[in-house]
Amino acid sequence: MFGYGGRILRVDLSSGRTWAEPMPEELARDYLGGRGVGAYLLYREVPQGTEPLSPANRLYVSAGPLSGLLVPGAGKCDIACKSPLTGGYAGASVGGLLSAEMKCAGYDTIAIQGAAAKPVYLFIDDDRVELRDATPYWGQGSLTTEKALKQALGEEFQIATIGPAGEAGVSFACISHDFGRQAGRGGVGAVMGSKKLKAIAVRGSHAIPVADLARYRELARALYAACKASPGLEAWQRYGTAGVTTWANEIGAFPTRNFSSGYFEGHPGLSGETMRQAIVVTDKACFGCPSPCGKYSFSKKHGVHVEGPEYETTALIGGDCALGNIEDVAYANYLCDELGLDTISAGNAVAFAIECFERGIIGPQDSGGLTLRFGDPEVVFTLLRQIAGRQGLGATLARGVKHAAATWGKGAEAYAVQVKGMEMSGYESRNAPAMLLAYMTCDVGAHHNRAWAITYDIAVGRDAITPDKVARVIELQHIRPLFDTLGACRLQWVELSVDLGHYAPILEAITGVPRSWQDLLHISERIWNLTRLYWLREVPGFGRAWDAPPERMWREPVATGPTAGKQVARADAERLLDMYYQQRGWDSDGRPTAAKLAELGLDRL
Amino acid sequence: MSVQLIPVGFIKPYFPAETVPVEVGEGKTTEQVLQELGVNGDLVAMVLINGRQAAKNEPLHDGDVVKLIPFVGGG
Repeated sequence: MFGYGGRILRVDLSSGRTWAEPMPEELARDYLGGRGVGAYLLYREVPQGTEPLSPANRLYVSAGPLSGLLVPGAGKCDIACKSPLTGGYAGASVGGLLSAEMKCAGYDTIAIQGAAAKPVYLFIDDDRVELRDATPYWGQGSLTTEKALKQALGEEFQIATIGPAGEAGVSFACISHDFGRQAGRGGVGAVMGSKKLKAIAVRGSHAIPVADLARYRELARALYAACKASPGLEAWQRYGTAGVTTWANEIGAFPTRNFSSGYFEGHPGLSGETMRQAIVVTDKACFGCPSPCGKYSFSKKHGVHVEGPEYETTALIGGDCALGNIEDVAYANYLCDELGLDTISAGNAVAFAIECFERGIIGPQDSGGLTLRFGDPEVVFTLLRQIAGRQGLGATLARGVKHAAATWGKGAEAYAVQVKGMEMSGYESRNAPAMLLAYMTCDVGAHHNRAWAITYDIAVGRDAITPDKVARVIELQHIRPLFDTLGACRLQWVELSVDLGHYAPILEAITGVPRSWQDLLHISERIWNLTRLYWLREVPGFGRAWDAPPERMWREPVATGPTAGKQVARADAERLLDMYYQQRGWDSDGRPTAAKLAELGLDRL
Repeated sequence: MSVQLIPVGFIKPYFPAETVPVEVGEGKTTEQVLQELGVNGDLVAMVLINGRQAAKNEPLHDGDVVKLIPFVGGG
């Protein structure tokens, strides 16, 4: 099969058996790869009602048809499972080189089931697949483990690993790769830890078959030329996502003090310019990337190297915990990377705990005598360590803010900024209805990855609540995850304005299967509806109430900054949902209609 | 009348300084001022006039401080 590794690697950790199956052609046809294949296999193979941290849950690590080929950022890998954080679908994307290496070893997806009796790691060297003892690595940090495995096996092996947080089953533990890239969200690292799987190490030596080599080369050259010609390239490469920090403050969208505000007075200390001057050592790129956004940094103050901080980390640990020194944010970033914590959920959890402490919902008796306050880096470092070890307050916070709020009560729910149990990422959205709708309807919880609509809000008028905004959210929910399905990076389109028209032709040259961009969007819509069906199947009573905005967003206006006094009324959030369901062809409780399922070929599932 | 332009983030390279004082005709809009300076107005997503959110085609007044907020991707 052109463009594919051609096989699914099955790993049963309970029996210790591994085997390869051919990648079914109809699966590639209907779901392409990456996120699509992961979501499909999860829906079909993991029984209804499975406990997320039980051996019956499965982990799908998937490359896409563009992975490993001459397409910008084509090392993107999608990891799917049932989420221990939300109880619904988890699909987390990681950059680096993992999916490219998998493809060269001849695998499109690694499907992991069961659980090992003692710690193991999965060793893959083309056709040679072994489960090896990981006892010496168990308890070690992600960065430490990756380094040790590279030293033991060879630099050319690509490693995905969990840290102590994943071993301990923290609900937002991540899977780490390439010294600072994470499949961050939804607790995929906890599922890996529950299977006693410490790491995956893969090396591949095969070429990936391409249908029309001459055309592929010509189109690849044009795609790279378009990236290099972009006027935005220089600034993007200099700052990476950290360039957004100043902007987010100027528009009043920077999460600050547990989302009480959209403006952090200390933001100049966190800006891309400050970061570049103070800590950045060099740029760092993923597989085949012409526009490296990764920044490899060194904090003199704390004596650590770290990739980042990336914008989201700066937002949720910097602004949301009110740390105004980029070196402290870099150290917290390092701690999260080594411990194996998603910085977005972890920053939220810490900020939530601090606010609950300041409001008297919890007290020194709960925190072991520690005084929690915003702006104190030691408080942040201590809580991050406690979360990863499930000690002290960390034992409660390790299950996410929704669970912690239910545990503490006393009105704590009003300060838990989450949708579907997932903590919100870095855009305060009370003056951005399209962005808020994107958070409400995202298929993993409150994450910006599926639709980043705040620029659209700004362009067409921030207060407006219109069908156009809803249509734009839906359009983005099909375009952006399509990149995670194809196994390449979306940022050349998002940040460098590279034309989307490049992608269907190069996919066709690679796979030999003619498909228009519209065909690809149709597949993306199929996947979106499939993940919705998964939620409906797995979460009792799932429906409209699960798409509600976080309470804080409609109960309380923004405290300070350019958006002070703004909020989206509860009734307006409901209007947005009405329009969204109607445009999606779903009923008023957010269920895909029979007609929509038939249109997408999901009626035969 | 005179106004001050303050470009933010990615559009700074299109301007000669962090703060750009410009003399403009009465009643001109941000959009028109940018045009006169030869800056593509489509780069600017939003303006803040004296800290208040405003449209690009809103008339400016003497002494206004105009922050120019670009489109960005945001990951």
